[in-house]
Amino acid sequence: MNFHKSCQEGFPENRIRPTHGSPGFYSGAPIPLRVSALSILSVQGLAKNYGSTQALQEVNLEVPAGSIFGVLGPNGSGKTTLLGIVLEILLASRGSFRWAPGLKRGALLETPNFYSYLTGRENLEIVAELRGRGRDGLSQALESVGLDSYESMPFSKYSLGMKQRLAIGATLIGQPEVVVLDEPTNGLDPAGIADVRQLIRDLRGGGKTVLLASHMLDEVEKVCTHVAILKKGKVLSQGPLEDVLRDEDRLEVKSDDLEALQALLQKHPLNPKVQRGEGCLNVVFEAGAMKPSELNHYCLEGGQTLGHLVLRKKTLESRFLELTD
Amino acid sequence: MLKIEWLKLKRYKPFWILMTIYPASLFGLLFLISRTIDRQASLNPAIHNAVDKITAFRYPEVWTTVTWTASWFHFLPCVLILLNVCNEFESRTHRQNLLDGWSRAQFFLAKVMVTLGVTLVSVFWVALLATLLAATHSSPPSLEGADRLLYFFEQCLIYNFFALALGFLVRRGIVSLAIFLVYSVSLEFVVFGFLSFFLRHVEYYAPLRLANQLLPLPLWKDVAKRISPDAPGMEVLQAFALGYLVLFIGLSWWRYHRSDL
Repeated sequence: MNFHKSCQEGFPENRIRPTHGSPGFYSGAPIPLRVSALSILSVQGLAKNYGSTQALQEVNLEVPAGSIFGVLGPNGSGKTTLLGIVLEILLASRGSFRWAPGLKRGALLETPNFYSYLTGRENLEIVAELRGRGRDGLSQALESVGLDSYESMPFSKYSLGMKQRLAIGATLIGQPEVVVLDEPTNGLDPAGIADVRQLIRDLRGGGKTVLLASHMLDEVEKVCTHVAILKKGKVLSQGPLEDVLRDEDRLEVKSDDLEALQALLQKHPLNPKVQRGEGCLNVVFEAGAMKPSELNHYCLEGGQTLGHLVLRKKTLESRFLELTD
Repeated sequence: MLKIEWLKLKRYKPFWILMTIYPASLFGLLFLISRTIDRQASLNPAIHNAVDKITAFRYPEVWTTVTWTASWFHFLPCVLILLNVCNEFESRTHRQNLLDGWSRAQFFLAKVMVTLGVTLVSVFWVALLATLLAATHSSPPSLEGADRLLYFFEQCLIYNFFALALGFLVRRGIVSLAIFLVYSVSLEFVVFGFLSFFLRHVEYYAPLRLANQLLPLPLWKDVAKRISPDAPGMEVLQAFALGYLVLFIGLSWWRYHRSDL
């Protein structure tokens, strides 16, 4: 009784422990991908209607092999619908998608769905059978998500965080080349979230592709190599994370004479936007148009010595809000 | 496929309860009738002479007695099949099965195989019970009249695949169970009775009534023939039974194959 109570109130050992090199599970050692093609998933013109509501509109995506591809968007933007279609749970109204042939996939879509009357281990046994795997690696799977001590507990007694951990563990059984995770940090505490982040990095280190849907932007920014930002079923922006973030270069500069510096910058042939900040100037160029060193040189030539020069990158959150607002 | 379904069912308590209640109820009822007759016969010589003429528990009539009696218990395996399908939808584990590697066709086929398995187990229990009853009535073993088992198998198939189709179409356990019970008890009679005003004799072709006609009670058979001279013959019943099976499986697959999960 106490055992169950402690699990419901707080999972004492709720750490997801990445197990580098665990046989039968995922390992840190690079696993050669079966496809060397540029993209592991290609989505073309995908649309999904629910009556008159358009959940997805002409979505085109390319998920590069070996990437951690984040699908971002506010609630109702179509993230889960998109994943549901490419995982063949939902039917597309139009368009098509194609996975690289012969790939094994592991996926968590929305909520963890297991047989409530079976234990965690028995549920994973079913997953292993469905993937055509024996029972090797089940213990590692349970251990790596911190559920080895609770493998004999019925799934119905698991807390939300434990259920989520079991689902993440299940996606990794049988060493899939592609792991699809829909909001994997749901129900997890901060330590669990950090563990998931590390686990995703380890997956990439192991040569796997991760397709990740989340609205936790800071998490995505920490782990993703590529992102697609969705709003109302449309892709607003997609590509390598840096490209998506860098639609412009914002340089923060300061000198002893801000007015003279402002006048000099406004004469710059690239015609940047110059705005007053707090004790400094913000100079905005088109992305990639100006290097900080070049700007420093220009200012020196114009008789202004810079006491402060910083290239300010946008956070994913600010870029996301800019695109979706 | 069956191994995976077995892993799902082996710890599912309602499965074991229903799988136990079915033969237990059947055994209990038939042994109760049999023992009651025997007891009365031992107390009264007049009854004893009459009982001697009763052949319901001897070959070949025992096959008909047991299969016909078992036909009253079809709802038990049907409930099991409904639960087996609807639980997957309600707990969304069918989606997880697909995410974990099965195709829609494999999941569907697994459920069809479970339905077939439950049907075969029902037939096995009935065959075993008939053999035991005949043995207790000193009847020498005989396969004469054992073709009743085939008709019983067909009857089970219609009931069980009707339940399977209901599960795939409705997807909600309680709702589909309620529909099944209401339909089998009264709705079919009302609907086909109403349709018979427009289409003569259509009531004979209602799926569950048609299944029941595959195993008429022999004592009643001649009377039934007189009351319902237009009732279809066995060949027609067989053809419609096959048609219904195809319809139930086809509808289930169509619904599962063509919808969001």
